[in-house]
Amino acid sequence: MKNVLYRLLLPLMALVALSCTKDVVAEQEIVVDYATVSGVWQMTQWCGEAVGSAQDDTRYFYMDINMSADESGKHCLVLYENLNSSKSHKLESVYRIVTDDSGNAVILGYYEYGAGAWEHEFVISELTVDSMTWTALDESGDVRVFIRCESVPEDIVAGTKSAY
Amino acid sequence: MKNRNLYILLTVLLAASCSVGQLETGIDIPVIINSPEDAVPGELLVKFSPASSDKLDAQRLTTKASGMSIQTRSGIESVDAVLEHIGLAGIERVFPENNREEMTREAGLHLWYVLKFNEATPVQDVVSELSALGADISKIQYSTMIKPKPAHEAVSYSKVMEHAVRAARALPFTDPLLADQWHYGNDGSMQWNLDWSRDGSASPSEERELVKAVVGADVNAFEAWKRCTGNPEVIVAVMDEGVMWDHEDLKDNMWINEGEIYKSPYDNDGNGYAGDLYGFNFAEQSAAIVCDNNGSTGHGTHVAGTIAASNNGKGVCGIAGGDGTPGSGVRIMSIQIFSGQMGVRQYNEARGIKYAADNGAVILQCSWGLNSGLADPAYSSRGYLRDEDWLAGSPLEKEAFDYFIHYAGSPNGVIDGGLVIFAAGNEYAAAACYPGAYGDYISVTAIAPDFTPSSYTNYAKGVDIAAPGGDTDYCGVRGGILSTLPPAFSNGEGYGYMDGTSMACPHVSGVAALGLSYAADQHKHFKAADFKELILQATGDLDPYLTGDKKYYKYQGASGTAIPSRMELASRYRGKMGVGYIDAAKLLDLVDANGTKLTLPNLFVTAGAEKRQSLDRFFDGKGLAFSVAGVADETVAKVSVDGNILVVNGLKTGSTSYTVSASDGTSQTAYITVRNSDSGNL
Repeated sequence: MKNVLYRLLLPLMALVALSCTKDVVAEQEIVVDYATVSGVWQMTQWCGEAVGSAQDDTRYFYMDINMSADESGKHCLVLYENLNSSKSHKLESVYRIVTDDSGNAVILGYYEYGAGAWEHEFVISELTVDSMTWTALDESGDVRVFIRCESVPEDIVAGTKSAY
Repeated sequence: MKNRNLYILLTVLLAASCSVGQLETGIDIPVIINSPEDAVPGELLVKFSPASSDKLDAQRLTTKASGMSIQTRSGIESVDAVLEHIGLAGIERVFPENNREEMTREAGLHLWYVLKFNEATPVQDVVSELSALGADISKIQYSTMIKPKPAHEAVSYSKVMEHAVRAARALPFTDPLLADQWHYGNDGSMQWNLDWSRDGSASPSEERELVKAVVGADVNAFEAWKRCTGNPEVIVAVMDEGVMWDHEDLKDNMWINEGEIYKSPYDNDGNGYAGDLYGFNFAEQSAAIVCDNNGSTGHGTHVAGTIAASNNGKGVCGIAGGDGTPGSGVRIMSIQIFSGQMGVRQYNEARGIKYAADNGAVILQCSWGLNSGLADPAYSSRGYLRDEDWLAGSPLEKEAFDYFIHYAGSPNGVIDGGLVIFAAGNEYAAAACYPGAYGDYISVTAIAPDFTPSSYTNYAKGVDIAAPGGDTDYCGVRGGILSTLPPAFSNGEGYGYMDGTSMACPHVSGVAALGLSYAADQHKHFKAADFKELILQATGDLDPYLTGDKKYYKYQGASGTAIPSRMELASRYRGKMGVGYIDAAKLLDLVDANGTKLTLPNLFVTAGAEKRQSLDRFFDGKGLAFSVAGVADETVAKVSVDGNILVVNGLKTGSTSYTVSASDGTSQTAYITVRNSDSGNL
């Protein structure tokens, strides 16, 4: 009987071990570069507060970060958010990643259609496969936590400005 | 009668460019230098790089603090060395600071400056010196003028001998001249004789030909008016000659800048312009809107009447002119860029475009443009033919239009973004004129009362849609467009005929305004790009009417004579007048089937700042009273209601939900986010 139990539990234990290993790997910080930050990210915390998780909290803030540069060498980042409206607002921008004197990875950019710069430059930290933290260089309290998602929800994309 | 042109004589400035600048982000940005031909002496337009922004702001503050009225330094050392060398008289931002500064900066428009210096200094020399500075400057543009073409006279209403018989059919409004406005509801009763005998090419049997109007060659306004006649929430900016704001058929539908006093020397409402009650005169840099000075034609007043003449039992009707109740129609804002024979500097034109967006206009009505790139050089100079040439030659103008398209309206209003609508031009040419030919804007061709292309209309390349523009060379004065005019240009009557794509354009603007009015009535919301697509879907097919030849008398401006001419409709025009002719009732159907319902919005407020938001549009029902039913965390924001306005004061960093109740028992909840910075973005 013990033998049977052992045989049944062994694969299960292996699965648990595998998933734990995967968790450990996922928790590990990885180097910030265009490849590792690319993808779709949802902001879950801002200035220590949860965003969009409460039942009546209709707010969202997604970033779709493109790793590859376009023909003119621009790396594109698209925002979808509704912090100041009832519908989603889409903003296209161009970004780049640099390393500051302290060795921090800093992301900065400007919006398309007129080249207005972002309001802040951000230090990217705690980057893992699934999450990352952005801290504004000029306002240390402005800390934004993002989690990785597969895609921006279709209904949010459908409500965006196609002209932007 | 050939008042179909309010075109620009602006010489085509083909641009050359070179890459010398570099953005902070490391991406090359070219310094654009258009041709110095026709450049205004002693002036230059410069767009500084984003990296220069802080220095520019600091210098402006220094100048302001010192009490000097004119700024003479940029704050950028290398630039100031050049400016000192050339003897700079003044440097000022193209777009004055106002309560939309955040959007201005997001769009990069705060970086555009006008440099003014001694006119004796060759402007090319200044360009050479500045362009060598590289990274501090991203664009340089010669200052040029946009000038109106020589004017032709309108024809007053009473000069036309044969008018429609009002009693012949039931009309939706009692305005006495509506029966003659075939362009709103064409019953096909108009007919005219073509005397073709002067041609020489026709057989005797063809010499006199009776031609009839066709039922439905109109914008189908009568059908649309059963559902909507206008909504004052929608503001249309008429960029043209000044609009006669005290005309009996327009005064109730003029936009009023509530915080301002007409022609006051002070900027009472803080929008950057003093005394601007009905709009602003950008041709003369004055709050006084002028419509009848020497050299004017009444063009702006005529255009405005087609969009929003009051449907009040007087004079003519307007497509979105309301139901006769004072102020029930859409609002007309006068963005005056022509005054008599005076044109406008291109940077003042750009100011006018931004002014319209910043003050609530969501439709920019533009019955003007350069000449077609395929205009017959025997009669007129040629304008741009390709997008890239216009883009290179007019970067400031393009950025101002971008601003209108992206920043007019509101994400919490009926439309997010703005619509730019242009006349296609009147050079009988197979290409629309720029700027209207550019893909972001709607370019309007003209049709006659029988669905045929108006003889003069540009067509094919760059056009988007057709609308009634009249064709007096084909069917006489009654076949023109009847609208409002200043008495000075209408024998004292206030009404008269004009024709041209200039007249077709406001038909599309008026229908667009009516569609947005209907959407506002339904508490619906659209993105500007989506609504533009709906306009282009709201059409009827012109091609079945484009068969055989059309005969007309081509007016020869130079000689003042008319020559019998012939248009091959099928081969030259089929499929080339845009997607079809505009139909107001179809647009209302599309509004019913599309868009999203407006709901109480999330709000982003800076700590210590106040935000006000109208509530009417988020709740169904009219005349509702509102109250704040709850704020989850009152330490984050103070929320109150002032009439139908929600007032939110940011208290500290954080967020809270808030609930608003209406007197009909409904309530809605949304979120307020309070942060220290101005922007909820990056």
